Formats: sequence, structure tokens, C-alpha cells
Amino acid sequence: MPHHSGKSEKRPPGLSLTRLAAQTRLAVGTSDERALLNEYARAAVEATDAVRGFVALAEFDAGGLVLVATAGAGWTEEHRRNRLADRDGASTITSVVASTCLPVRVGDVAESVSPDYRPFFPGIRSVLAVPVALDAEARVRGVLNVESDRRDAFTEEQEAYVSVLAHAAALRLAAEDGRAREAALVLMGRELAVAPDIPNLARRVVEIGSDILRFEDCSLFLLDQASGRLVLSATRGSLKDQVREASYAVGEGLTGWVAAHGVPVRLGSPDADPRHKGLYREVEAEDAGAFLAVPIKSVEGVVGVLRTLRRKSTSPWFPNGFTEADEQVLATIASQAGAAIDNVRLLDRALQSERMAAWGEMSAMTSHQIGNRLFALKGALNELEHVVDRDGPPDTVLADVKRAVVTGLLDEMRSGTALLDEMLGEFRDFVRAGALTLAEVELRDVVRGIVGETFPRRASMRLEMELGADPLPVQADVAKLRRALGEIVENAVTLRGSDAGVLRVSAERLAPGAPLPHGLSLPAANGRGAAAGYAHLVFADDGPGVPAGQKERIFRPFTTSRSRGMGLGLAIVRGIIDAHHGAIAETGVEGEGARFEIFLPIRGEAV
Amino acid sequence: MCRILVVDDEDGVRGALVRRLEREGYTVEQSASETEGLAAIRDNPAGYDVVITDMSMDDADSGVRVLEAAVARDVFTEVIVLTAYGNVANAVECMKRGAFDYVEKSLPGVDVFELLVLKVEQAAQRRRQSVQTVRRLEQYGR
Repeated sequence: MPHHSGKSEKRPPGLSLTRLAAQTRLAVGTSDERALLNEYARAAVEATDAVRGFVALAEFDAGGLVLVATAGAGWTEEHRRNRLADRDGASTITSVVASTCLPVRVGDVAESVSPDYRPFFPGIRSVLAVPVALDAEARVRGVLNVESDRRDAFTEEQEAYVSVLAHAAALRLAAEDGRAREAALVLMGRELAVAPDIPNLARRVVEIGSDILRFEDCSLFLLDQASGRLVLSATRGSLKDQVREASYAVGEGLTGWVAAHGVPVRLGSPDADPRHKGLYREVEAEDAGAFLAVPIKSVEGVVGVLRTLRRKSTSPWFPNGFTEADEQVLATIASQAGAAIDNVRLLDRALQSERMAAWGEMSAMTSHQIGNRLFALKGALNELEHVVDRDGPPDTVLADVKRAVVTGLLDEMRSGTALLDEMLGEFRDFVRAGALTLAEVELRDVVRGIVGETFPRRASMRLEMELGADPLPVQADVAKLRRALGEIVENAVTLRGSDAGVLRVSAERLAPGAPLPHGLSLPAANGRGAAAGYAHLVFADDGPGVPAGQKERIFRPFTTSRSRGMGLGLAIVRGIIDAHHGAIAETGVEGEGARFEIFLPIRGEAV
Repeated sequence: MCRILVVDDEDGVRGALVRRLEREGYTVEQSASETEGLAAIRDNPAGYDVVITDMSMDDADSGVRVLEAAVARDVFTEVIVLTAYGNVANAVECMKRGAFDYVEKSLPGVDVFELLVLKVEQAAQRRRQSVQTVRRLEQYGR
């Protein structure tokens, strides 16, 4: 090592332990991260007697390294801009350090680096570059670099000195990153706890995720309960115009896959994955460099997906995929979002049921009053009929012609009061749908009984019943269930008219946690029922069916295709099924028949 | 002569019931509230054969209190409770406390007045039998 001999004899002027101590002290003392890096660039230049030096930090969004601090002679704005950010990926000493995470010390670049090596500054002979990185993360945070126009300018001791500065910087940066994440998560928790509604909540999740955690293109998809699809609810990327429009079916594409399986997906190049569909993307497929999506879970299961994409790195040698730590942060945000969504929905439901209770009480009173008047009216009619005595002998006071007119009117009034009775009954059933008297019953027996009672014994319509072998113990109000299932059977029979047709009734047991089709979810009935699985009932006919756009509407009150009644039939059915902590949906195809699917929680083991 | 008390706070309902029952030949008295009904039961020297009371007047349990008062006054008085349609839980409670029967005021497809006349007839008959049985037992005991 002849070229070192001259310098190793005396300590270079910059290498002072006292100074190093003061410089590392800065890492815990200063409040300004940039000032610290500037000071380290300057200190490295001073300690190594270099011409100039710099600190470059990794920019994970775009990929590549960006100059953040420079020291020494000759720096211009142009240098700062060009350096290290070129797309051609030319190998530089700094890029080697960044991709290998190992220090490099070169005594003569013309000899030891490739012949086409082009330094940014002319006349450079020696380079010393050390990684700014934590060993635990297999990823470089940045590079601290000094250079000299002298040959063999840097010693091993100087390398050690500069490395200490780089390590201190790495620790400080890691602490800074950690603090930012912690602050983001605390902020997220605080904001989500008081989010007034779900759209606001979604917007804040995405904003905080993007701003503080540097997830550039962050999008939140929520499961829409009506359509069963994952609908874009908030985004910080180029999909902004498609909020509430862009949607995936559960299971469709990577986003749908995450929702269907309830586990995160973290990929380097999403377009190479067979699950990838690229229906809605924040960046062009060929630009997508990394993909990370986590499920948002509530007590009712997966309710959405939070995902983020990153463009391909501008520097091929620089990996900018998402790390395990990124995934954990996103998963933490998602779990907070899930809990917040639960809160909002529970509050909604509580308000809703309070409103329903008040409304129900009022309607119960009203219908009681109407019922009483109706009762009196029927009494008066009864009396009038007695007075007119339609079957009696000819009356001298009331001529027989008149008697015929009066009895005709009486009949009309009677059928009118009968219709009012029916409507009142329907209304009361609707109001009282939620007031259950529960007993433990075997659902298959109940279904068999109800269908037997309701299904008309006429040859034109066929009944196929397949109730399976698995017992279906449920907590149910049998009278209310009879009302609900009877309504469905009656609908099928009535709408089929006099044609021949078939009604298929089936029952089966679904395992606990089995996903419900069509985006249905069961409210968590103190967690017990759901734990033991569900009973799945299907009533399918081959009548006209329900048009695609009407499937939700038919369950709303005052919806009817028949001239009779108040149009509360299916609203009563849904009310009763909901009160049993179950779910119901119409899933048939228009023109092929109606198909009502009902899910009721199986009674779990006593706990 | 069978004596009936009708307790209902709805004038129209009470009027219709009284008229219909009088047509059947019963002697019918009426009370327009729970309080009036309780007073009539307490102050009547002989006790009623049949009491027909609405379930829900001052509150949802008015009928139960009329029932208890009537049975306390004369153990053989038969009580028929009128309930709104679908309010079966309440009616079952009345049956447990000794009501003869309950009638839902608006039962779709049923002429409730005819039904009520039938029930009153059965109630009156049961009261006669009960009273006769007790008399016979008392004679036997002498």
C-alpha cells in the first residue's frame, strides 16, 4: 500500500474523536433532519479532506435516490437535479452502494471502475461511499458519499469515521420514520373514532395514508351492501373521478381477491399476477411497480379493501417494492378503519331502531284507534242488517225494492270493512315484525308445516321440497316465521296464476363463517348464532321473477304489484327475518322465476 | 235473566256491543272506563254473570285489573277480554288469570259480533252450570 503510507503516519486534520462525538450527538440533539444531513455531508468532507460530498436519500414513491445535502466545491443546481435521478440506470458508485448496501472505497476510478464510468465532476480519482441503512431492514435509506481529485485519497480510518456518521443518520431517519408512522396511526385512531359518517371516514383514511405514510396512490373500496360489490369510496390517485362508480365484484381482480379471502396481497409487479385484472388502476399497467392491498374487517367480516400502488422505480437497480413494515402499517390503518366502520354502522342501526320504535309505537296507537272505529262500524252494519231483515217477510215500512237496494249497499259496506280489516292486519304485522316470542325449534319441521298449510292442494302447481338431513335448530318465533314464509309461498302461487308451475323449497346447513352470497351479511347477534353456522332456505318458483333493478325495492314498504293490500308483504317478511338476526335476498333471474334466499343463524351451543 | 257488564272507553265500540247483546235478550250495563267498571263491579249487589272488558284502556293492563276485580267479587263471573288483533301475549296472560276467553276485535274474515254472541252464550251457560253445581254441593253438605 505505497500510496497510503504518506497519510497513515499522521492523523488527518479532520479525524478527531471529540469532533465525531459532537457530530453524533447532533443526531439526537437537533430537531432539523435536513440540517443534520447537511452537517454530516460537511463533516464527512472535512474529516476526509475531500473535494466535495453529498447525502442522497431513497425516494420510494418514484424510485431512485435524490440529493438532499451537499458540501464542498462546485455544486450547481444542475448537478443537484441531474445527479442520480436518470432513468437510463447507468451504474454509478452510489447506485452500487444503494443496491448492495455495502460501502465502496475506490482509489482510482479510471482503473478500478468500468472504463465508461463518467463522474459528474471532471477529474475525480477517489470515491468513498457508505450506505445509510439499518441492517434489520434489507433496504438502503440513502448514501453518504465523498470524492477527491487525488488518487487513493481515502483511508480505512476515514471510511470508519464516515460510516459512523452514516449510521447515526440512519438511526435518526429510522426514528423519524417511526415517529411519523406513530403520529399517523394516532391521528387516524383519533379521527376515525369520531368520524361522523362512512364517506368522511373513507376520505380521511386515504388522506392520512397518503400524506403521512407516503403511500402516493391510496384507494379505499367498500363493500356495498345492496349490490354486493366493492365500490371505490375514496382515493388520492388518478381514480378521483370514479369515486362511487368504479367497482369490483368480490373475487374479481386482486382487489376482489383480497376481499374474498380476507388476507393481504403484496406484490412486486401486479400485472404479472394471474389474479390481476387492472379494471381500475391508479397508474398504467406497465408503470405499476408494486401493489399492496389489505382487507378491512369489521365484526361482520370483510367490509372493504384498502390498497396502494407504486410506480416502477425510475432506477432499475433500486428496489421500491412495499416492505413487511409497509404492510403492517396499512393493516393497522385497515383494522382501525374496520372498527370505525363498525362504530358508524352500529350508531346508524341504533338510531334507525330508535326511530322505528317511535314510529311503531305511534302506528300501534293509530291502528288501535282505527281498529276500534272499524269494530264499531261493523257493529252498526250488523245492526242495520238486522233492522232491514233481508230474509224476513215483506215489510210495510221498507218496500222490498228499497230493501234490495239497502242490502246491496250493506254487502258493499261489509266487503269494504273486511278489506280495511285486512289492511289493518297487514299494517300491524309490519309494525310488530320485530316483536318476537322466541322458542327453540327445528327449522325443517317449521318449514314443512308452513308450506303444507300455505301451499294450495291443487294439481296445477307442483311442489318440490328438499329439506336435507342436517338438523337446523334455530331460535324463532314460529307464528312470525309462518307469516313470513307463508307470504313468500303465497306470492309464488298467486303470481303464477292458474298456469302449471313449480315451487322448489330447500333447506341446508352452512358452516360457520361460510361467506354469504350476494354481499349479504348477518348482524352479529351477540355472536352466538353466527358461531354455529346458518340455515339456508331457498324458495324458487318459475313465475315471472323480479327485474334486476327491483330486487332491493320489493322489500321496501308500500311496494306492490297487486291491487290489493298495502304493499307491506315483503317488508313484513324482511322485518321478521331481520328480527331473527337473519338475512333475505331475491336472487332469481327475471323471466325464469323468483328465488328468495333466507339465512337464519343456527342456535349455537349454550355458552 | 243474564246480566252483562260491558267495559270499554270507546263510545262506538261500547254502543255496538250493548246494542247487539240487548238484541240477544241480555240485560246489559255499561262502563266507559276502567275506573267506572271497577266501581260498577264493586257496587253491584248481585255480581254480573258475564263481564266483557276491553284490554287496553287507561293502559295496556286495564283489562287485567277489571278481570281480577270481577273474579274477586264473584268467583263465577265469566270474563271475556277484548284485545286488538295480534296482541296474543296479553290475552294469554288473561287466560292464566281466569278469563273465560278472549276475542280479537278485528280478526280478518270473521264476524266478530257473531263470535262474541256465541262466546257470551257459552260463558253464561258455564256460569249457570257452576252455580248449580255449587248449590247442589251445598245441599248435599247440609
